[in-house]
Amino acid sequence: MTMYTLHMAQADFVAWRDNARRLLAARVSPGDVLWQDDDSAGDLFASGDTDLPPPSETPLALKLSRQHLRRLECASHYWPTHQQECRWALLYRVVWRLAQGEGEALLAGDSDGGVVEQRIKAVNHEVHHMHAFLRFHQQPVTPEEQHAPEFIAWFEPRHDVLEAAARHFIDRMGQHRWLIMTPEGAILCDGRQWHIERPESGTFTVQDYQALSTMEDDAEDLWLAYYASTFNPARLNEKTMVRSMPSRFWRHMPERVLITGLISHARHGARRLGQDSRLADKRGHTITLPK
Amino acid sequence: MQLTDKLIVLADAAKYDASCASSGAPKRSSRGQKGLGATNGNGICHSFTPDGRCVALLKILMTNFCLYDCQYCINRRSSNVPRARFSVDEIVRLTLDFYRRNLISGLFLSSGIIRSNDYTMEALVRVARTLRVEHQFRGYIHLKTIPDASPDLIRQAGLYADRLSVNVELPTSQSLNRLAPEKSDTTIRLAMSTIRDGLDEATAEPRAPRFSPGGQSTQMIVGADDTDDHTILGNVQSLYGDYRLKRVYYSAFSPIPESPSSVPLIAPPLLREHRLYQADFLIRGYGFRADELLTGPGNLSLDIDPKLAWALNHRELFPIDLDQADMYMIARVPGIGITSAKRIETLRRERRIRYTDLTRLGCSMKKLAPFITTQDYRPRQAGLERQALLAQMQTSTPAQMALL
Ligand code: SF4
Repeated sequence: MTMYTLHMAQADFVAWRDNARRLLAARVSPGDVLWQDDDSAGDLFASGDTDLPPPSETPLALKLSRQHLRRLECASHYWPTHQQECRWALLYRVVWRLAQGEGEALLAGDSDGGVVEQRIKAVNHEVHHMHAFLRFHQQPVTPEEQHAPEFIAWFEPRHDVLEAAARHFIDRMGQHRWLIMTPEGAILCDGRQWHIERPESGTFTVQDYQALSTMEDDAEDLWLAYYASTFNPARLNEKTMVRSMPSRFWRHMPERVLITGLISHARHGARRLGQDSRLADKRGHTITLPK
Repeated sequence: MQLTDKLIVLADAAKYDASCASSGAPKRSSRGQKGLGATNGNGICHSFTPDGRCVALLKILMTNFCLYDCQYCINRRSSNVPRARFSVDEIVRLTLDFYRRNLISGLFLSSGIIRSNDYTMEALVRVARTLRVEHQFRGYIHLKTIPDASPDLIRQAGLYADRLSVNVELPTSQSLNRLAPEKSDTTIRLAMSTIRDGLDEATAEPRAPRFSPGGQSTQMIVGADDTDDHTILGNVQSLYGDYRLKRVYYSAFSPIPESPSSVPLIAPPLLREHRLYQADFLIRGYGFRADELLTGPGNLSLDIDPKLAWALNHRELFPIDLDQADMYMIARVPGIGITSAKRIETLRRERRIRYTDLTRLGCSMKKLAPFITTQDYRPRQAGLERQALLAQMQTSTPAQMALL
């Protein structure tokens, strides 16, 4: 049995689709292909790409609905851990099984379909995290710097969601100029056009980002005032907070400086009342009805 | 007073209202355009405070000066709290500044009642209009409606808001009379009907002016009076039917400073609130009737969730065969949600269901085990006494939100 090795230069669903089509046409079963992500540790026995065999006399072909294709593409944005299966191998086994008439291969109850489903969920969840927890900082921009971004943000997503998540910010920010930087790439929008910039080598670092950021943003103080005040110490429930807002995001959120203080304050008495203790000592006043 | 100080006062004054979801808005985008903001129907929680609640909107009062004396409210006129009032521009500035930094998805604005109901409502509408018209703000706006305001002002609010809400405040009209003597159940319901009619017109007539596309919702305080869950759920069921409500929000009554003796000074009943949300979800999403969940006076069980409680009371219907049962029944199995029920139905068109499929679908195996059969699985507990099962379930239920 020949083993075929395929290198995937980058997160390129189109390239995978191409390869998958040729593999199906040649009836190469999933067990005979070694997919290699560029970043995965090289297999000692694998050298360059192997030439794929010519199409078989009875080639397999597969027509996928647009919705199914979209699901596969979404799952391909998942970055597996070292113990998890390579994304391209998983997807190829799914289409191979579909081509054999196993319609369940893409259903959530199936062993492969279930993994695909989990990965789609994780990717969508990460898109959602980025929509929710990314924070823009306003930059002072002088008239000479008419092209410099007014709002910049740093975010470390767990999966390949930069592009998917960025569309949301394009809709949101109108004609503002902004920049979102992540380790794998940055997205720049000038209020009309946007493009993605990849690091020349390696990844962007938070230091690269910090070099861009020049100033404190005073709206942050207002936000901190709001955050502490909208918190209700009588309902203290850290577990739900941490479950909904995983701590890996806190590092780049201004409110991180308040969280532990608010919790311990609530534990030490403030919990008896809902009111913000900054108000308890202030002079209040009752209202008399007009005659 | 400095803007920061006002913000502290008026956010604190607004935080007891839990109905701050940011969902249900139509699709809007500012791509390449003047103005700011987008909505797509789904709410986004931009942060969580240590009380576990989501921060989606800038939730503030325009002012906490108030002529009313609702006993459960920190802003009642007899309460000795610092008072403040925002100008329109201040609210607009805060909303836009927070929005641009991606701290919020929009504004949730309410107010104490000053001068008159119409005066107050008009001021709220002015904020929304300024944001929408002058600043072309396309983010989310939720306006709390002053129930006694004129219908005309409520109509205007619907032009700019994505969601309108009138709070029923308390579960029964008797409690309302006792604790909020200036409010009336009748006017609250009239205001809700005005909103419902506006919604109906907007759906029926495509060219009708825009009206609160995210619908209407309401909030009920739980634990400030002694109404039981049976009465609450019964009333809630009719509220959903009568006013096309998107949601009813339950707010466990939180102790307030200088609490009047008419309301309890105890820790908020968070677990009870949680059970009410679960029951409410079963009524809205699963076709349960209120009297199925609680057949007589009393409260929902705090130990087990209402779906499990229902199934344990209907042991004669179980176990069900997942290859045969109706979708409707599958969704009634504890541990299987609507989505999983649909997926089971799709999968069984391809092949028979196996027990391990359910793990992959993310069902709660511990809960569902006694209630189903598959070709490769029959429950061992089938012969167990109901009580024994109940006890077993209770010990396996993970701890819910802790009380004091
Ligand atoms: S009307 Fe009643 S509930 Fe509303 S702010 Fe005034 S006192 Fe509070």
